[in-house]
Parts: sequence; C-alpha cells; structure tokens
Amino acid sequence: MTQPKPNPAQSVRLMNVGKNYGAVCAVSGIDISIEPGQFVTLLGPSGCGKSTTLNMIAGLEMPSEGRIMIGDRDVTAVKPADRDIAMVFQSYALYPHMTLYENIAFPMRSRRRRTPEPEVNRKVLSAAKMLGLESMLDRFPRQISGGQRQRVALGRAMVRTPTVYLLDEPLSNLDQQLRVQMRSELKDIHQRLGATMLYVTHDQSEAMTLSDLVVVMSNGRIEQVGSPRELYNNPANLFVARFLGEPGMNILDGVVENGRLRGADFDFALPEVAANAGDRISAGIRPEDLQRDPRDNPAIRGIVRTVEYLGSRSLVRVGVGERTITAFLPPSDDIPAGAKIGLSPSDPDKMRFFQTDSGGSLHHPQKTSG
Amino acid sequence: MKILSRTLLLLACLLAAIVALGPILWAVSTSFKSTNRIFAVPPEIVPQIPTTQHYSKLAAEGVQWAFLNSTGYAVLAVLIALILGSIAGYALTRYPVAGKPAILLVFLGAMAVPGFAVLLPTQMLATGLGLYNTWAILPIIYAGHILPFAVWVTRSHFATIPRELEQAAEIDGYSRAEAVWKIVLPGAKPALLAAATFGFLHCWNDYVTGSTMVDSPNLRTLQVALIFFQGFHGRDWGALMAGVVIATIPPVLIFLLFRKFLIGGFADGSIKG
Amino acid sequence: MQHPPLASQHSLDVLARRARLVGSSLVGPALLLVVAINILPAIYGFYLSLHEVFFFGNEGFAGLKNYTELLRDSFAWQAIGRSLLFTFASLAIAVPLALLAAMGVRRLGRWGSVLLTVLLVPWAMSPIVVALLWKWILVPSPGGLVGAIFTAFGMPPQDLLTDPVLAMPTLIIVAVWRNFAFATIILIGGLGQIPRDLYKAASVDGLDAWESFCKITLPLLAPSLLIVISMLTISYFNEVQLIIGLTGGGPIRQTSTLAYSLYHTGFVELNQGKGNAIAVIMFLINMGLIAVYIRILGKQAGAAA
Repeated sequence: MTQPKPNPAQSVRLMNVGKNYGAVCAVSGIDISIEPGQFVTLLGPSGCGKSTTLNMIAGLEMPSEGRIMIGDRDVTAVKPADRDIAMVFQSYALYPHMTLYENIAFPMRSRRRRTPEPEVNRKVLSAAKMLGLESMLDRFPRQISGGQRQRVALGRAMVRTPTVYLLDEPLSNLDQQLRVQMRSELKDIHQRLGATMLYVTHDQSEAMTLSDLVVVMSNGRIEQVGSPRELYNNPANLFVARFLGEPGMNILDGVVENGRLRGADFDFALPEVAANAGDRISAGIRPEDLQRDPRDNPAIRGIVRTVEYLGSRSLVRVGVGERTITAFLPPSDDIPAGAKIGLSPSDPDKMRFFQTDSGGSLHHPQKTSG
Repeated sequence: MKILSRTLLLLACLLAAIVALGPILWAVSTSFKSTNRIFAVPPEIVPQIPTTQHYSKLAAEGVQWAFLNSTGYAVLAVLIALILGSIAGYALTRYPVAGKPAILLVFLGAMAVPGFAVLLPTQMLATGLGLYNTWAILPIIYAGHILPFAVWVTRSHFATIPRELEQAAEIDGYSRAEAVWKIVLPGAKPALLAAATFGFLHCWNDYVTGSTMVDSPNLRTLQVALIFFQGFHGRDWGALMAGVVIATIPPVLIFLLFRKFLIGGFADGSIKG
Repeated sequence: MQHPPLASQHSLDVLARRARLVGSSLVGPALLLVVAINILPAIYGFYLSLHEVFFFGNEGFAGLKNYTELLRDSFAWQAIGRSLLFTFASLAIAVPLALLAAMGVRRLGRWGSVLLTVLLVPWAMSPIVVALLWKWILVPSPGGLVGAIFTAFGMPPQDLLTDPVLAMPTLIIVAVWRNFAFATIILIGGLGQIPRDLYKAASVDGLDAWESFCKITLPLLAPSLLIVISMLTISYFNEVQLIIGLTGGGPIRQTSTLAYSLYHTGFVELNQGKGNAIAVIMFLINMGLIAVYIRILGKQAGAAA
C-alpha cells in the first residue's frame, strides 16, 4: 500500500493562541505550524495546557485570543461539527447505548455528512477489519475490554477521513503492555492513512516514538518545538533538558572563569559559546554521556549514593556538591555506595550549556523574552 | 433450623402479600357481583354469577369522561414537567447560569412545600387570573407540583453523563441539540421514566386539587367524579367498587410497567421527593 | 515581532455572555412555573393569613387576629394534638414494618422484588380511592370483609369508622397500609450500602443476630432512616385525602387533624384568612419536625461513623 499524498488542506496553524479562565491564564502565546500529514505531539506535565490547546483546536473551547487555521480556513469561531476533525478522547467517549457498529457509523449518519447506508456499511466494516473488531460489532461498549474500546474510538475517528485527527491521551487508560502494542499500531495507522495527527500526552516515550514533531509545553507556554532528536540532543532550555530523557539531563550550575566553567566539585572547559567571565552558566550532560574518570583531577568529583543494576548497564546516583546527578555506567564496574568517584563527559561536544538565570540554551539563537 | 426460619419467612411474606392485595381483590370481586349478592353471608370470594352491570352504571353516569379528563390532565402535566424539567436540568449541569445556588434552593424548597398547604391561596390566585374552572388549570398546577422533582432527577442524572460524550458527538458532525437528543436523552432514559412515572401517579391520584380548582362536571377528574357519585349513590357498593377498580388500573399498570426505574431511582438515592 | 491579527476580543466576550444567556433562558421557564405554582402561593397565603378573608373577599388587614383566635380556640389545639397522634402513631407502625419488609425482601432474593412490587401496589393507588375501598372493607355487616371476621369471632360487626375511640386507630392502619412500603424502597437501598464484611466481623467477634442488628444495622442505616422518617412525617402530617374520604373528620371531630381543619375551614367554611393561618402553622410544624429529626439522627449517624 502506497502512502497517500498529503493534502494541503490538512495543515494546522495556531497563531498566538491564548486562553484565560477569568483571571487565570491557562495557555498563552501558542504558535504552532503543522504540515499536512505530520504526527505532532503536545507533550508536557499535567496542567501544562496541552489539553486546553487541543480542545481549542477541536472547537470545544474558545480561545481568548489568537487565531486557529485548518488548511487556509480560519476556524477560530467555527463549531466543532464544521471543522472536519476527528477526536479520540482519553475516556474514549463511546456512546454507551449504541453497539460498536452504531458507534463507528455515528459520524457518517449526521445530517451534515449524510452518507448512503451501503457506504456506511462498507466503511465501518473496513475500519473494523483494520482494527480487528469484525467479530464484535454487535456488542455494546460495556461488553468489551479497554484495548478494544480504544480501537472502537479510533475506528470512529477513521471512518470520517477527517482533515485532522486529534488524540487526547488515548493510551493512558491502558495497561503497560497494551499501551506499547497500541503505540505501534497507532504509528502504523498514521503511516497508512497519511493523515495529520495531533496527539496529546504526558508520556515522553509515546511522544518520542510516535512523533515527527514534538511541542513541549509547561505552565501554559511552549518551551520548545522540534523533532524528537532535536529536543533530546539540543534542548532549548533547562525545562526541556530536565523533562526529556529517563532520567533527564544532569544540570550543574557554575560560574565562568578563564574560559572554563567551575562550580562545587566540577570544572569543564567551555566550548565556543558566548559567555563572559563571571557569567552564571549551567552545564547539561546526559547520564549516558558520563564515564568514570580514574585520574586524580576528574571533571566531576562526587560520592556514590546508590547503584541500580539494570542488566545492560547500571544507573548510578552521585552526589556532587549539593546536587545529585545520574550516570549510566557499564554494569561490570563494581561501585560501592559511599565511595568517592570521578566522572567526566565521554564526548564534550554532547554537553549543553544554559544561562542559569533565564534557563535559555547558549546553543540556540537567543530570543528576547516574551 | 434453617429450613424452619426459611418457612417462617415465606409465611410472613405470604401474609404480607395477602394483606396488601386482599382488600384490592375484594373490591374487584365486589364490582362483578350483582347487587343482591354483594352482602351475601358468608361472603362470596369469587362472584358466583358475575355481572358487569356496575360498570355499565358508571358509564351511564358519564364517568368515562372523567376518566379521560384525568388521563389528559396527567399526561399533559407530565409532558410539561418532563420537557421544561429536563431542559432546566440540562442547563443547570452544562451552562453557566446566573444565580445557580439560589435557583437550586428554589427547586429544593418547592419540593418541601406540600402542595396541599398552598392550595387555598392557589385557588384565590387562579380565580383572580380567570383560570379557575378551566381545562388548563389542573395540568398547570400538577406540572408545577412535579417540576421541581423532574428538574432534580434529570439534573442529577445528566451530571453523571460525561461531557465528553456530547463533545464527541459535536466533533462527529452533530449540533449541540442533536447531541443532546441522540446521546444525552437516551442515556437519561431511566431518570426520565422514573420522573414520568412518579409524576403520573401524583397527578392521577390527586383529589384535593381537582376538587378545589374546577367545578364544572365536564372538567372533573375521575377521583372527584367518584366522590360525587358516592354522594348520590352512597350505598351502591358494587358501582363504587367498579369505580375503585377503574381508578386503580391506570396508576397500578404504569407502576408495574416502570417499577424498575422508579424503585431504582429511589433506592440509589437519585430521587428524593 | 509581527503578531497575526487577533480574534476579536469583543466577539469572544459576546460568546461567553451568550452562553450565560442561553443557560438562564433554558432554566427560566421551569423556574417561572415552579415559583408561580409553589412559591408565590405560599407567600400570598402568608399575606392572606394576616387578613380577614371570607368567601374570596378580602375584608382588610387583621394583623395576627387569625392566629390569636386559633391559639385561643381549644379545637385548634386538639387538632394539633390529633395531627401529632396520627403522625407519630402511623410512623411508629410504618417504620418498623418497612424495615422488616426491607430485610425480608433482601433475604428472599429473586422473589424479594416480587414481594416489594406487591407491597407497593397500595402506594400506587389514589388515597381517595383507598378511602372508598376501605369504607367498603369496613362496612359493618356480616357480608363485609371485616364484618365477616367479627362474625367469625362471634361478635356483632362494629362500625369502626363511626366509633369515637376506634376511628383514629382505623385511619392510622389504613394510612400505613397505603404507603409504608414506599419507605421500604429507601431502606433496601440503605441496607445495600452496609458492607457485608461488617457482619462477618461481628460474627467473628461473637455478636448474635440481634446484637449485630442493633450495633451495625441500625446505626449505619441512620441516614436512610432519617430520609424515610422525614418523608413519612411530611406525608402523614399533611394527609387529608384519606380523612376526607374515610371519616370526614368525624365522629365528633375525633379524626379532625390540623390538615383536615385547613381543608374544612378554607374550602368548606370558606374562611380563607383563618385557613391560611392554619396552613402557616402547619408549615412551621413541618419544618420544626424535620429540624428535630436532622438533629437527633444526624448526631447518631455522626457517632456511628
């Protein structure tokens, strides 16, 4: 099966969108541009405004400011029914009094999109086949399992061939094993449909595995937009650096002296970044980019707090000054808790530096705040 | 021991059932006995020579029109209360409404006011408005009696229907009104049926409101007509019991049909009234 | 930085205001009808109670005259006494019966719901029709149902409804017969909410059936009992249709409760000012009774929790 060509009408743009509830600001200054056929994830901790943003794209909530475009159409004040979108809810929102067949057929039977019954039947059956639901179409939602409900919700979204799919934490009610399975099914479906999909999750592994583009949000603002690789390798600020990765990037705060970054128990050479003597700078190192340094004068000196053996490697927590950092070290190393340990970056180019006060990355073009 | 207590329990239940249904069955039996057999000693449990003469007598007195009046009033009142009540109940769970706590208090307070206690001023107000002794007055008053209850029941049921179901329907291409009609109302069917049953019983079983708000014989409710009939034919027990039977069939039938919803609503506490 | 044109703040405000307007206009009709039928007459009734009103004619402000006259009238006090007697005697029979029935229904399982339905049939009937029915049941003749029972015990049939001593108890029995099962529904719900594990724990702790009924069932049932007792109290205290149909307040006013006096004063004597004063007094007593129940049973429930 060849991948369908993206249709320019399937693009989505949010322009400076904001939402207030009374005096409380839920989200503000949201600018996102989504290309047709992209899989885009809104990622962030709960309460960061990602669901509000999705609801505004769906038309379930009205933005307090800004514009929302689908294709070249301004849909800011358009009713949900007229946006030609499909949405999968966290709770699946299956209609309890309808069979699975009726649930999946429901979007095609509205007055707006009255579809001839033979076509309804054909589409329901083909969606059911794709999702492995053929044998249970006459059952009711309460009679099937969580994973099956999830598929029905997807089926209901698919039969419409909408311009955009919105998925609000669709996997969060499934158990771990099923979640991983549905994750790859979802990716497969996206590739087969070639549709624009906008996905909300707080689970970074879902975001990283599924997305072309990830929008990291916190406190109602966008922290960074980029491909999973960009976000991981080159976080725009300290929030993204700490948030992505399991565990997140280690951050060490220091002061620039003689072209080096120094702090309690560490000392790095600074690469070619704009920093002046006396600047407060934070260094970021991924746990897997640290290695043991047996020299007398290692880049980082610390005390081993705990060691978690993970089979292929060990996760070692090391106290450095007042902070605790983490490092993935070979499992063969026998490291007793309480021992002194020296660490250094295995590849200094992979280190990232941030302004301690603003949190901004020194590797990104500086934006004026706001 | 266990068998003994089980037997005792069954006997007690049988006795309870006889006490509950016995008088009603006795009335049914009486209504089919010819007048000269009614006082037979010892009493005939089953009429030896059944007759429908008492029912014919009621028909000759025009009681069937009162039956139709009662039915019409009750159906109209239930319809008004369910429509206005479910609309209000929906709005109270889904829309910002100015003064919501005060409005809820009004509905709750209205449920606590016994309709009978305000009958006198209601009669005077109805007279002042020219509604006394019209066909419209009883449906309006009955609807007012059962409305707070209908609002309360539908509201608490709508609150349990996730907002996301409607949102899903709106995204699926339906208007808000269509979403309510196709998703919310079918979901609230148990609550609506419970409210309708309770409301119908209230209206049909009323006597005091019917006897004080209308006067004309052609506007009378069945209950009022039976009391008038009793006034003229006080000792005609056969005909009176025939009246009891026809006045009992509709509410008991409705109760039996919808008891599941009514009992369910009361038992899980979603109905209090 | 160039900002794209914003959605008009004005139009979004309009949308929010429209939502509030829609909400209020959906609630409006129901609210209007409820206020017109329930609240407004209550206020008007209080107003009328402060006036001399006869035969639909308002003859002027009377202050508390209607009330003071009532309070000076020994018949009014007797009516209050009869109301309380009727209410509490009915309650005293109905509540234990309802509790017994509730436990029986739960014990019976599938047949329990049949029994409950059977017991509820009288409740589905009209009180005035129940009155007619029982008049016939109680007819003092050997051919009547109760008369036949008297005859079977070798006694002449008594007219229970015209006996000054027996009329009230008879009325109470009919009232309980009609609606005690309604309380059963709520008590079944309440019993269902008591965790079964508590009874297992109690039997492990050595409590017998009666003790676990007193120490587990009753305290945990207190909230349901409160609802049942409040609802039955209001229902019995305001019962008028059964009395109109069965005794008409007689014999010699022995069954003339406050509710019946209201009916008689307002609708038969057409003394509407005084009738409304009775209604106001009834309303106050209703509220007082409910407040007392909430106090007593609320405290018990609090202690049990």
